[in-house]
Amino acid sequence: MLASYLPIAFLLILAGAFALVSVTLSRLISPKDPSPQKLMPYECGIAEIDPPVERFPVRFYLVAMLFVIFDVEVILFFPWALSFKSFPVFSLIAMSVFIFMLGVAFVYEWRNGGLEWD
Amino acid sequence: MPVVQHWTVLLPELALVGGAIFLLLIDAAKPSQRGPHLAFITLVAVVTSGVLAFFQWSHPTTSALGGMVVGDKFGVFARFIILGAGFLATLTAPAYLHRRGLDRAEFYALLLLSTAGMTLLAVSSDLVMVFITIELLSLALYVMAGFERGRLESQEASMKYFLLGAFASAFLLYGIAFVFGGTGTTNLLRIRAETSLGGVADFRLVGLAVALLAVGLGFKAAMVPFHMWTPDAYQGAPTPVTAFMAGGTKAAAFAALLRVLVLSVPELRWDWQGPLAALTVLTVVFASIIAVSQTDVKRMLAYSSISHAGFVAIAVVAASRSGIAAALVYLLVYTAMTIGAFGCVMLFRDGDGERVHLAKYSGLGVRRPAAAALFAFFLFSLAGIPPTGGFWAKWYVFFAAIRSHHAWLAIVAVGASVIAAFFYVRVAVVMFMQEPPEGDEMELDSSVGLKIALALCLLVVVAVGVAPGFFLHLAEKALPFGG
Amino acid sequence: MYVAAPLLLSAFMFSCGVYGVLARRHGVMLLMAVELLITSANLNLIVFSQLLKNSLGNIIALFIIAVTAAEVGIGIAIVMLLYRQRSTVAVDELHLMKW
Repeated sequence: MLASYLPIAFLLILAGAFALVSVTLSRLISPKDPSPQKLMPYECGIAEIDPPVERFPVRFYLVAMLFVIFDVEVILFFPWALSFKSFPVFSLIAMSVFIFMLGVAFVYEWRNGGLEWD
Repeated sequence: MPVVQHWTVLLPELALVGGAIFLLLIDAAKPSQRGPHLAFITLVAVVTSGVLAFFQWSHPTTSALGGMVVGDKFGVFARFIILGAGFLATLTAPAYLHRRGLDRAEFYALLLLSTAGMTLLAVSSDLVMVFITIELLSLALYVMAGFERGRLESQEASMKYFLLGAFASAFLLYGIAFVFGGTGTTNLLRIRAETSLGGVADFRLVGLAVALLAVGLGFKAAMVPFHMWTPDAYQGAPTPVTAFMAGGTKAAAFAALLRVLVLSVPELRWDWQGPLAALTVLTVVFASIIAVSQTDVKRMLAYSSISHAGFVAIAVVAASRSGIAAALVYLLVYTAMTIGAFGCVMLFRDGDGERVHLAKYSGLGVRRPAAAALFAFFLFSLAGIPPTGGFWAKWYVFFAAIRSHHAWLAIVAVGASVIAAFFYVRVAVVMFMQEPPEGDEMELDSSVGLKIALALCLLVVVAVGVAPGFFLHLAEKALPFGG
Repeated sequence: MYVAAPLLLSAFMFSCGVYGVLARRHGVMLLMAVELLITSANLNLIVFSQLLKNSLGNIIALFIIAVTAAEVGIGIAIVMLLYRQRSTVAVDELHLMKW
């Protein structure tokens, strides 16, 4: 039973080893010659006094939030779609109701400007 | 006993969800519309749902969705309490929301969805259904609690309610996972069969699971020490939402607690009765003592609602037929009187806001005797002073506790209700015995819906006070399926 | 099947989640802690499902994932609301109401 997981374990080790090797290798062979000029965030201009204001892209979060909900609700379709031939007609009605409700939510969101990226 | 399967059990909930969808669609057709028609549609949906539920009273027990939902008299009784809470909240909401510019379709849609979650919770006979319906009712309530977006208290209420609510759901889920692991099923009646003699249940897992489930449902019913969210959420949320939460959520959570503890794991009774009795004592005593020091009336009523959760839990500990009936009568009276009390808080305007600080109530009985008397009546009923409905509700609960050999619980609870009486009566003293301040005309809210709602609350509390036997008789008929 | 290990992992995740909810003060961190709690319950369900050869647990896990997505959506919305008004997501700054 555990043997069937061997490829996954192998892949994990391989991925880990690759990450480790490439990081150490770039450490070892990259040229290192730091100077105050090189360490500054900008090549020219006035040195910054405060760190930049943290950005909070509200539009992005709004869209991400709506996306996550609709995206995840779809997982309920998969088991049904895989075996719906063995289900009675009732399951088709139930699923139609579910799709209808998702549709209502979508129409509401659309009409209220949830999808506009301004 | 085989039960007929028919989807019509779900008709009351379909009416509620249909109303919510209709509201969302008309809002999509014309975004951000306002007006009295939204509240009217909501009322129609709730009444339709109530009528459909009423027809199930005389029907034999039916189940639906593969035994996940059961339509029995217990469910009908609990649904009526919850639908009543939804109806009253919808009556009180429009004036409050209109004054703050919040009377939008979303509010009413969320109210209907939350009500649907509560009624489904009251009829669910499967732990998966219990989880999903709790989420449905909570998710809508989180948003409703934060509906006054501009007011910081409202946001804070929403955040705290959300965090602790999600925390509680996780406990509930962990419990459900263990029940499934221990018995191989999540259906309440099959859990009962597996935990009985000859079942295959793993009792270590099921015992742990019952503890986790009780914690999860205890959060929703606001029992000490799982009550931390309640005062903040009740104080910060818009008052119609607070009234709805206090009435509806409690009824639904206790209906579920009764089904899970009393019906599905009666075999583990000796394990859960002791801890639940301890929680009950903690709840009634702690909440009554803390409430004494409150100066914000909404917050005081929140602590009052916590202590009432303790009283209902006494009936759950009794775990008998009379206990279940007493719990139902208590929830009915409690919902009416607590919504009545919050309705009175909405009635007493202070400029554009509400009178929430106790000091602002001084002399209210002199300027507005009728309204103050109504508030005092609801407070006396909450305190359990005869001959109000609240007295009989407590009476039946104590009686059930004594009959199931938990007399000590009844004695502790009587002691706590004496402490509790102090802070209820204090409000009445402030209203009637103190002089009103100069220049404060103490105008009342003139909304018709609020007045109708208060009249209905008064009617229920008086009716139970006058004819308690009739309601107890109804509740005794409404024993849950399998009880 | 060897069940002790996944059950222990799930218990560990649950403990981390409880610690996170109680100790963290950052709104988004709290959401993540709650997610961890729910995921640990999901893991339990799947393990029991395999152990009992009963697919009910897997189906419940799917439902839970779907419901939790909605819950987190609302959580993010509430955190965003707080951020817009106060420019902070620290939960211990929510102290308008006490006792």
